[in-house]
Amino acid sequence: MNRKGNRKTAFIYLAPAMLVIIVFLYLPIILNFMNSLYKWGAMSTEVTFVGAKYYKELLEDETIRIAIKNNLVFAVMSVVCQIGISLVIAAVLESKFLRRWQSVFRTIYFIPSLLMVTVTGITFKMLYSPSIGLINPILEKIGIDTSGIDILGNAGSAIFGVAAASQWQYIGYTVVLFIVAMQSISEDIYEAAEIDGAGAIQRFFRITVPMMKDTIMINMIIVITGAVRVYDEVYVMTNGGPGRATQTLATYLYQVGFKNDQMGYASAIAFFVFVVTFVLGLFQMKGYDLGDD
Amino acid sequence: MKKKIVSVLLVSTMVVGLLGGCATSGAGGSSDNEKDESADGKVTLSFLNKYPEEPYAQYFEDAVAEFEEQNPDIDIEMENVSDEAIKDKLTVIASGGDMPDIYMSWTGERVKRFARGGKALDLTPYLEEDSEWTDSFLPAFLNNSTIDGSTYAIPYRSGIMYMMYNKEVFETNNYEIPETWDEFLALCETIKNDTEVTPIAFGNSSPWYASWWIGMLNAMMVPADVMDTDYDPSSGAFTDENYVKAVQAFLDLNDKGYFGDHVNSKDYYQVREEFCAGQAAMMLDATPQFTQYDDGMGTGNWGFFKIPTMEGAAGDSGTVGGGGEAWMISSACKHPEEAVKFLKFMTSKEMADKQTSEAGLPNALVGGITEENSTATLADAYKQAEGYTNIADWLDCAVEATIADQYMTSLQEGLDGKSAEDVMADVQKVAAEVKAENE
Repeated sequence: MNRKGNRKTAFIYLAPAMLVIIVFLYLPIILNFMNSLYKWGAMSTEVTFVGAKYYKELLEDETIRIAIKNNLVFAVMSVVCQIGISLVIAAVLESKFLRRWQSVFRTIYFIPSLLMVTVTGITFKMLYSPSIGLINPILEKIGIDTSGIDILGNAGSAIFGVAAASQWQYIGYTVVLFIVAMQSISEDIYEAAEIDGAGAIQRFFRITVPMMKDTIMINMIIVITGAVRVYDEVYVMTNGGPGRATQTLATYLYQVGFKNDQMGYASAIAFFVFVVTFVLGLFQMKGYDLGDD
Repeated sequence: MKKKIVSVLLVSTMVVGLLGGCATSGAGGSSDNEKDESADGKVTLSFLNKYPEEPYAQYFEDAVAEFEEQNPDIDIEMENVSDEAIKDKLTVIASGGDMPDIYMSWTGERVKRFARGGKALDLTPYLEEDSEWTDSFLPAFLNNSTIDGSTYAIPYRSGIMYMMYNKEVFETNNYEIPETWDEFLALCETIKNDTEVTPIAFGNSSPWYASWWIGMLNAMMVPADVMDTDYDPSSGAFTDENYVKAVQAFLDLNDKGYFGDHVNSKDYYQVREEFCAGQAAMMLDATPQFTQYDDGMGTGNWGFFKIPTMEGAAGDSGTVGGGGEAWMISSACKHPEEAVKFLKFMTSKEMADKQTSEAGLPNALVGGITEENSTATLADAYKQAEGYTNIADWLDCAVEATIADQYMTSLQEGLDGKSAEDVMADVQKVAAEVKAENE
């Protein structure tokens, strides 16, 4: 068979998958964008064309700004904890002294990520509660005045409380991914480095981190896009409150669409979220040159 | 270049997952349900209700079974979704276009928005046809489901707000039941200073509970005609200064510490537990929840009193906060006759009696609550309510959804320090937008 024929066959084999991707992935993006140009709702039968009105509104909407700030808080905390700290934890667990106990620790760290977000959300809500919780009494014990501390009830601290619960839940997941990646690094390299006089910290930064670049990058994309679309943690713990203090893009989108019945505006927010994550993804791909090696 | 395209496609594939839930296509027609009428001519009606928990669930299951027994050719498929969840669920279903044949809603704006959107069947002809049925309902609850003379919902549960109190706290300290707002405030101050308990149990992490208070205070402090204009989405402005006063009266209770600490991180259910455990002296609640206090504290350990009246306030003193729950029939229902038959059965005197005695849910019939079918406390509450002439729906059910949402959001911020003026400024801004859209 000649080359051309090969290509044709390839297309035939690819067609069904392509079709599924087009219908279920690309078409909705286009439809969603079109929906965002109309004023429509689930309850009302009227559909009116409003053009870019919702995008203008979006730029002026204060809640959107709060939501973006909250998503950023989530993203920063997630990168620090789920990439930074979990990388360190993974390295410690992989170190010679702890390897014997590794499976025990790995299991302990991993279990929270198996729980439902609803469960951890409600649990943390109770832990944080100033009247029935555990956090305030502990702070009291170590001599901190807790009369003004109400983690989820005060607008200033609520988002950090929610984000912290999310870190507790998912840190073990990335730890396990990192451990797996670390185990695939050849032992010889470490031995050679040791002979050359490299210390543990040097070995971590000079060998472990560069060798795991791809895994770190994939986790980074997962963690950051996860932070941009965070929804359930907030929904369970604060539902966007107090006031709008913990509103994220996804919870605000849901509220606008399904509570306030402004589907057009909700579609515009959805498109905005799409653009943000898309651009983030592009930057990361570029920054890491995925696939070039 | 090719690599770039591939990576662009890859990235978009990765992020597109989050759009999954948001891309719905317009108002789709309701899908044809072939199963509506099965081969043997049996009619199937779907029924969305909101009582998955005991003791309510058992009553509704029994009631449906009894109806099916009496009407072997009608099959009712009941689904129960809990209180908070059903609000979202109904909107989500409505956007999908496939409404259940019969569904539950709160009276007031929540009924009207389904009616305006063409999702509800106009029940006026059925009510006109059967005046006995029409006249059996408490007028205030039927009226709250009527727009421009057309009624869209049949009330089955009534709720009237009262202040619950802990008898032990009141008796040991010789407190008197306050009749005016000033006496009420004085009592709160005394309780705060003299006892260990919180004067009023209140928590607002689910913000609907604040909307009860504000709905009640608005009814007390804002002239009735102003409120009627403002609660209508096409004319609402909320610029009357009495709205600010009402919010201020509410925030004062918090600022003076009558609600205790950290109200934004506790919800209604938590503070109800606290109240039942004797940690608070009073709590605002409504008649359908009376059974919860019987269970939680024991009959006789708690009492209720009428919401204290505010002297010199501009509102209608004959109005009390409260609201009803009602059943609606979808405009797409293929068997409205059978659906109406079911509603007539469920709201018949016999079933309403059972609903009240077995499930403890006060019915919405004239003279429907008696010593025979309910507790002495509940019967007394309805007897005392005869003095009221009007029901002010819970605020979150009374005003347009966006306004209600802004009200609740800003009230939460108010409890966190925002001023009453700013709270109402937020509401006015949204009300103006809603008005512009509905004119």
